[in-house]
Amino acid sequence: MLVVIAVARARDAKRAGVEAVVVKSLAAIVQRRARAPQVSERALAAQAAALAKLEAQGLEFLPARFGTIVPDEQELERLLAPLVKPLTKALALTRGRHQMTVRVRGTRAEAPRTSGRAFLAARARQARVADADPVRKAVAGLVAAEHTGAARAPYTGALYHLVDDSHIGDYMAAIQRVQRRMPDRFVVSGPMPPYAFTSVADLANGD
Amino acid sequence: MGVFAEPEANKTLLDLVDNLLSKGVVLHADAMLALADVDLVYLRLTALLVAADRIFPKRDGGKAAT
Repeated sequence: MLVVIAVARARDAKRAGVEAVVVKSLAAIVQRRARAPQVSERALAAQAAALAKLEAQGLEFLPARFGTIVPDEQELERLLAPLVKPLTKALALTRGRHQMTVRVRGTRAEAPRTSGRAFLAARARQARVADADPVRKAVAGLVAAEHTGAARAPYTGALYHLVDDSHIGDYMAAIQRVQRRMPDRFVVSGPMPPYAFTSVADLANGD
Repeated sequence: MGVFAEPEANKTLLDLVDNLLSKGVVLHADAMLALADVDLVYLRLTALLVAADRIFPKRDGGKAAT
């Protein structure tokens, strides 16, 4: 079976000399396995390490979700072919950029049930991760794209920022200034591959 | 990154789970994973990944989030 770990431009994958299945201008970077991968911290870390190795080779790629397995090349080609356009778009968006993740510490308040309007307004605020506005303000101008996400306790939400490699230092400095002002409120990690900027649905909606 | 209070190991594990299990390119492939050495847990990938974020019980021992 083939485990897909990333998608890259075909020419870049060829130059890096990685094992890949090419469909038009894209290459699915694969690992051959006899058995299905275990769902474990170790397996996750191994996949992250494989991606780090690709990065060390200077390859730009979109990471695949853990557990993406296909039986053979033909099936992979069939699955990848309809996604060439949006994934090419995602590769263009993420080129020369990395993901920074900022998680917001706190207690997530229940949305008030006093009225439908108040409830929806509170839920919208939570979905936007409004608690992270001090971070947004601090890094304005340094972020190429943003997604938000829910987070498990002790976090109330997360921001995923796509940041130009040339801006990572400034971004970190800006976050650290906020962190000094609001200790233990924001936890940042990265730079890392652009995991949160690979949604084909998001890119299709942007057409 | 030493100014941040979160222990590095926790942060790393959180990023692994968050990024690899709930983000990344989805090819709508099937997922065949092994749990506890039992092979062939065979589900549609999208279905599995909706579940993956929910299968871990809450720390207080309560029911998994729905």
